[in-house]
Amino acid sequence: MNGKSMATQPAAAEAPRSGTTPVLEVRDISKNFEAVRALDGVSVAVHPGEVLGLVGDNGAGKSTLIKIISGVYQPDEGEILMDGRTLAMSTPHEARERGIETVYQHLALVNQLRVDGNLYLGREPNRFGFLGDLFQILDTPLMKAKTKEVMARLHIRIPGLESEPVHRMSGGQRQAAAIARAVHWGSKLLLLDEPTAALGAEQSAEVQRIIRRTCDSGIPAIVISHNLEHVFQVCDRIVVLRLGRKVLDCRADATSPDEVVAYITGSRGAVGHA
Amino acid sequence: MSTETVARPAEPSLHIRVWRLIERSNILTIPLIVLIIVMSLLSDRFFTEVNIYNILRATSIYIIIGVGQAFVMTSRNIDLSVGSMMALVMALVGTYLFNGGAIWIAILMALAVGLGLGLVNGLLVTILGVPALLATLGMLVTYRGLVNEYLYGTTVSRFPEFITYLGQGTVGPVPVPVIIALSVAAIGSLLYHFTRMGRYAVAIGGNEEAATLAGINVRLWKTIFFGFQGLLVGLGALVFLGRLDAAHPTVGVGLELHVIGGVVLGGTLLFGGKGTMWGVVLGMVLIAVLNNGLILAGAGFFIQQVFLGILLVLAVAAQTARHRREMGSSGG
Ligand SMILES: Nc1ncnc2c1ncn2[C@@H]1O[C@H](COP(=O)(O)OP(=O)(O)OP(=O)(O)O)[C@@H](O)[C@H]1O
Ligand SMILES: [Mg+2]
Repeated sequence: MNGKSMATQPAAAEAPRSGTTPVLEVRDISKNFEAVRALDGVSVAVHPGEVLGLVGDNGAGKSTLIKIISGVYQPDEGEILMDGRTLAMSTPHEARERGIETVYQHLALVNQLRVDGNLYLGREPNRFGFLGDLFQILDTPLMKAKTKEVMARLHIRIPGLESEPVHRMSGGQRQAAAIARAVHWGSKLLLLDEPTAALGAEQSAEVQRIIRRTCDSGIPAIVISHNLEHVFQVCDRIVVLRLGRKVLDCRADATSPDEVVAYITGSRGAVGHA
Repeated sequence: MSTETVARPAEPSLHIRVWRLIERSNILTIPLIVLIIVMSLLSDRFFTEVNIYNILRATSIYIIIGVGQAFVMTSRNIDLSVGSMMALVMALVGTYLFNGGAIWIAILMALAVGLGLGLVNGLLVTILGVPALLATLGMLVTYRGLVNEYLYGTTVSRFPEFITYLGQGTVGPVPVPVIIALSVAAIGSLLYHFTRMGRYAVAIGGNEEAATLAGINVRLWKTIFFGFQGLLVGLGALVFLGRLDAAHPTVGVGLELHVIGGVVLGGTLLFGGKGTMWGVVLGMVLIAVLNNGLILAGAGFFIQQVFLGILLVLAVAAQTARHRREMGSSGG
């Protein structure tokens, strides 16, 4: 495959896995924030078991695209399809009910709560039957036990997991907690906005393993990262956004870091769109 | 993931550890103990049973209303209207009783009016989007105006025995209002630690964006916290009605500062995200002990005000310093 020809005709590059229905697809999405055109006619499809790397300069529109897929923003134009059917999501809650889980760039953890409190935030189970439902009594033992299970399954080790609120944890531990929450609940699609941004080398590798493992079990992911090395290690496909437009969409093994950088900075690919 | 390398700085020195211990326990523990010791030395009238029960009785309505305020504050809001709201409930219910109304209707009326006024505050904040500080300041004036209009300078008094029992009665040696106040604190503590209500107060106050993203109906819960505050103001109004055996136009003036002061002194964060219901009890007792000591030492009402004001500012200053240190590195 030739990355350059795809870049000049992004629409033609749409089917790297023709035959399977994309788990999620956005078509011709545009989004304006007053004068800023954050997204301009972007189309992206994610297929089963695929890790899609979303890269681009600061302000390219990556987080905006993620937030549209997770129901935080509504697109001004374009449509979202899940399993080939059109979706309308007006709240993050609806996206989550459909199995789309997000790790936001700013993590969206409540610092004062423990990991289990954050893992179950907004979905706390009750206990003590009828009375428990009446007074909404939290089933803390269950949440703690399940959280331990999830963390063990993902090989995440956090000292003080069961006693400490997350503000006492390091950036990496907090990141791990946010990722664990997404992996635990995500049944359809994971959206990860810079999941390795706060992490050292060893922890980044661990996060990448978690992402890889989850996706190998069939759940696809969209991963945003500024670290191209990580992107090439973990992603099957790479999409480059520049100034709100898609300028590259191709298989990771069909391009190179240098080429991707060229598209990010605009030294390639932008002219055909102007 | 092994992250011990990033997790902890080097072993802290001894004085830092001791400081942390003092700090992590309630900020009031030490000053309260010191104060009680000093006062018992200064006066032989302090440690009498009568005086202790006087102190506790005086704290009752502040504790009852403070528990509601602690929930509101934990969710990063504030309700300044509680004093006027209590006066309005007292005026309405007091007049109803004065005209020979039934006790159980009066009780329901106090709770319902309190709940309703609390919900009004909540809706102003969540639906109209008025910042709580201004919305409830406006209601402080509005409710007080209604009280004045309604009572028009008169005082209603002489209520049925059951009402005065709520404010003045005793069970054995223990005043009834103290029993009510401690029950409210206990229930508040259970709600705070074990139910969704407490959990969401923390979540909304700690990180409202995260709470919204997690699908929590933030507006609904904020309104519920204001409603809960109103309900407890209704209860406090009943107790105070019984204690005074009267309702007059200036009752509860300045009560909001006393309530907020005690709640903050007790350890509930003014910035939201953390509350403590037993801390409310502790905070109110501290203020009452201080007032009592000042009275025993011969200080007048104005000096009491000066001390209360300074105490509040210091309590908030201590919180701010601590909040910066604990939350500073991890924004959001
Ligand atoms: N809520 C908002 N209100 C106004 N403008 C916004 C908002 N969110 C994003 N924008 C604008 O939209 C553009 C794209 O922002 P976005 O956050 O999607 O970039 P990004 O690719 O995630 O950048 P970064 O790598 O810095 O995270 C930027 O110009 C930004 O200023
Ligand atoms: Mg971003």
